[in-house]
Amino acid sequence: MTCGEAQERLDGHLDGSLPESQFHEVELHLAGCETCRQEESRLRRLLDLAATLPREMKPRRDLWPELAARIEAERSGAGSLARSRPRLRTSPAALAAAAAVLIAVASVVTHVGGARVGGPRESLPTLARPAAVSGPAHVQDAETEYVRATGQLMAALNARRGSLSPETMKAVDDNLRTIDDALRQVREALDKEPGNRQLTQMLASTHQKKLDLLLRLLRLSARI
Amino acid sequence: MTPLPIEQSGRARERERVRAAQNGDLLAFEELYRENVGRVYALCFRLAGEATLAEELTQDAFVRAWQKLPSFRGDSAFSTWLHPLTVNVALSERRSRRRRTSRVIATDDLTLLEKPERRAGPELGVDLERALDGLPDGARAVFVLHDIEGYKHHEIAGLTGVATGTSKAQLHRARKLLREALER
Repeated sequence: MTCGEAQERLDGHLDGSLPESQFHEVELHLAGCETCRQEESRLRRLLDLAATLPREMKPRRDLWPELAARIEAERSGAGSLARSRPRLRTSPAALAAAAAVLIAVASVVTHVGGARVGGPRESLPTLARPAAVSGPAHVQDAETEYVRATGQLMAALNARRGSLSPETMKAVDDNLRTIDDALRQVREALDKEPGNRQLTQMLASTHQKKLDLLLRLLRLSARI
Repeated sequence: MTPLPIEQSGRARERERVRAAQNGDLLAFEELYRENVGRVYALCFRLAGEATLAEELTQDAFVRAWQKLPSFRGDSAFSTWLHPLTVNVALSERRSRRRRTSRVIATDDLTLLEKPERRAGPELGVDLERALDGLPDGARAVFVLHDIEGYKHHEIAGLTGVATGTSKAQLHRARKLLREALER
């Protein structure tokens, strides 16, 4: 058996999936080949490392409130698995804009931080999220809180503009403008339909995405 | 009354929650969610490669679980039933969402903002998580399912729709790329 053949079969050798005859051939080769033994050790170290990874991770925020709202919508016959295709009675333009923004912001957050928030790499500091957004009065209170929180973050970001490149700030400003446009449109739609649960959730999600984006930008600008 | 062994009583409580949730009890489903969200999120996070998408996929998996709950007969633990369902949702939704997001964004210069962090200690687990990020989607999925979650190649083939041989080839590729990344 050549080294190439042996190394091709190391995966199966370590996984125990090689036929017995091939297993013994690889064993025999390893006994006489230092290079392939080292290769096997490297592979074994990787698998040992993979076995130590945590099987559970905590999301960076409580996903249940949004999940419960989706299930409630599902139960009332209004929901669907893909949130980008909500079945709503009115305001399709506002919803389309908001959906596009949610996608855009998610991507900006992704692009900004190769770092994965919520995983083992880092944990994002979170602002208190207005919890109850179930009725018109609660929506107003929650939105006031969001506006206050994003205002503080915007002020902090503006103070650090000098540490970010003009190209970066332009991209950030463009995306923030798009978010604000969508917020305005969803807000207008909600004014017309104050009890619409999906619009309410969309408003809260869009505010939260803006908060998340600003927080990540601030952390990144602090590291530069 | 003789108390049940801990594991059996845990299963009995889970069965009660599942039955209640099957009858529309959202509080019971929330308890199932709380018990399983860590595992589901970890799987989605590693398959998605980033937190925002992982959060969406986690929600999608539980919505799908809620939809499919009437078909769960309780022959296995709820988590055993939920796991492959999560894999299915995560792999299919991840693909479609990535396609949508790639059409919207043009902010790649922002990646330049990220400075690589150097840590003092040999946090190899974190290095591996980071190296996983750099894998192509197919190779990462097979590595996560086989080497972290413990699926066999024929099970991965059933879950992902690829041939068993393709799964083996992807695993070989993933392990090679990861070793190179970790030793760089």
